[in-house]
Amino acid sequence: MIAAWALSLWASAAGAGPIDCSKVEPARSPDPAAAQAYLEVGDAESRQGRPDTAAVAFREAVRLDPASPAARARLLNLCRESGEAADEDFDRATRAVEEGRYEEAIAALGPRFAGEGRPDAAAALLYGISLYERGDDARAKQALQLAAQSPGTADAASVFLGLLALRAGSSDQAAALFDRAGGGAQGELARTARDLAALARRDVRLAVSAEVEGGYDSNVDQAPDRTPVAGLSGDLLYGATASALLRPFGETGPYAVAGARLRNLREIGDYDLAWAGGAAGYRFTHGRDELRVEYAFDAIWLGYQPFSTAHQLQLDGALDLPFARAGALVSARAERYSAPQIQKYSGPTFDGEVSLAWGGSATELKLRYRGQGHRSEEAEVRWLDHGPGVRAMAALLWGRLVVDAQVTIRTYGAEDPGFGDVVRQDAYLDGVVSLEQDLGKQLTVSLCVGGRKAFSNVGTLEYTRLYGGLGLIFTAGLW
Amino acid sequence: MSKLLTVIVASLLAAGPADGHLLQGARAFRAGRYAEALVEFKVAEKLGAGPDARAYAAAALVKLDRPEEAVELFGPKPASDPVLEFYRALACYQARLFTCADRALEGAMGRFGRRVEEEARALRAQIKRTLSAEIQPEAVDWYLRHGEEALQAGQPVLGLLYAAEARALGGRRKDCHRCADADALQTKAKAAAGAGEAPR
Repeated sequence: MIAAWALSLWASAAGAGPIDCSKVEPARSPDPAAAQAYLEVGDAESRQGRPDTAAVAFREAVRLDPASPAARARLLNLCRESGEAADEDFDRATRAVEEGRYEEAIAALGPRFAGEGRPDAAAALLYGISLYERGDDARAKQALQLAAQSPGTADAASVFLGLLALRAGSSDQAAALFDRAGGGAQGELARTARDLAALARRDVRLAVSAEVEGGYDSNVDQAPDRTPVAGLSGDLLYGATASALLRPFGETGPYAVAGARLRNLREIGDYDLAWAGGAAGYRFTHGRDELRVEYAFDAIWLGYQPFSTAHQLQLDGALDLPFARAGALVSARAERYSAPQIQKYSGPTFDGEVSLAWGGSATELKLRYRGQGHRSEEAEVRWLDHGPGVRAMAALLWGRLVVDAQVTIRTYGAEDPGFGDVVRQDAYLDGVVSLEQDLGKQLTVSLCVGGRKAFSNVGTLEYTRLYGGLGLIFTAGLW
Repeated sequence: MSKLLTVIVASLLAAGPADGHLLQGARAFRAGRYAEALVEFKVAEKLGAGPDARAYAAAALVKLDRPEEAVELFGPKPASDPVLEFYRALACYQARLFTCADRALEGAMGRFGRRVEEEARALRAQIKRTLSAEIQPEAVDWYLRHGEEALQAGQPVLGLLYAAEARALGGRRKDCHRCADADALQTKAKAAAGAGEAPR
């Protein structure tokens, strides 16, 4: 979650002044009139940018009139801004935001925004972040605008105001806010703000992208490990992909995407791949919670011969829980295979996945469990599989790193006469590491290395595959 | 400067509602707690202490290294008390208003105690050395710019003194660099300050 990250950056940047924030002992004889004079002197000093002398005045005002909420609030604000405050509610809210318990932070800080008076910028930032994370965008904007007025919190507040604008579909405004944060902040916050600005500029309503790729696949046809041809199944590959995305109302609302891909192998022409597909769907959002429903169709050609077509309906979503971000996906896919030797695989496939994630858009750890059931007319090519997976994503100095690993245990539906009348049981270990680096606002380079190890109770079906590739992606927003 | 405490205690003979705060301020000043002293003097002024409370607050500002605010608070006229006038001179000196500082010290010489007198002489000698160098046009420009900024910031006394300093320094050059600008700024600053006489 981006909140804890931003909070840590902002907190490390905040300075502490030499202000006495120890407990104030009340005077034996309260003197509200004199306290008012001290209050006014403190306000004047505060306006002059002199928190040390202002604090002296406010302390005396509190001492002479302990019941004065104004004097207490002003002293507390100064102490908070200087980092000297012993403010239990604020500390509790800080911990809650760091740990993703936003409701608790809202409850702790809410009273400060319910009454009169002007809460301090630090509290406004925390409160705004929490409201943003819970999807209360209107109140989050108010609080963040308040935080944006203070130099110590302005950059972090601008980042979240940008995220709010992005969520509202105003990518230009979001990019401007990210630029502002990137220009004023230092270090990690500045870098992330610049990344977000680049992303916001990509968050257009009509975008096209093109990718060229080149690489190597060590086992194109999944040749078994124990056959002598295993080492001969490797080949260089090259290809290109083009796609377009339309989302007339921004991130939330209807969208459509269409694309095509060609991937040729230098020598093993039977496995040259062509793919074309499209999808249309609708994305609902409430804060960070989201739900997406989508219909997709795609067609695949292998060796320039029709291979398969599929229609798919998918529903997926994610929900922020107090301890993690939970996700779920279900889909149904009607697959039809064209080539005579594989037509028996035709039939519906059902997928399901549940996941828990920690982190945010830039850095995230996700644990998932997937399951798949494939039905076909012939029982020996029906299967059920399932297994755990993990995905870790990190924004590093030299790019975005993604590591993904998946274990799949598959059991087929009946004895297969082609494999000695045994019921096939396979297991797959898949892993991929990819690194992306933006070369500019529209150009990204991508490096990917991955592999699969397949185990089976049918020895000839065990294989190893390693692959790697380099891609160059161009993205342009047209609207 | 324990002299300041003496001055304040003496002023308390004519007791008023703000006396306690003046005394508290004086004690804090003597103890070196200048922020506390400033606050007490300002509170005393708010509670009806005489104009001296402003001057005491200005002296505390000098100690807090806030000379521009101190100059503004002292006002354009010399302080009646030589110790306060010494602090006004210090404020001017720290704000690079050398002519202002020298005139303040010159006017109060002979009325200081022995130790302050020695400090005042040393300061005047330093000012003389500073002003003996050839006046560069950039220096005059600096004072005019800061004078304009002070006026815009609502500090007419400071603006007036910067203008006067620019006029004095410009006048030491053969070409009387930007003397007309300095005169115009002084007129503008006097109007803003409501001051009918030239600063000393």
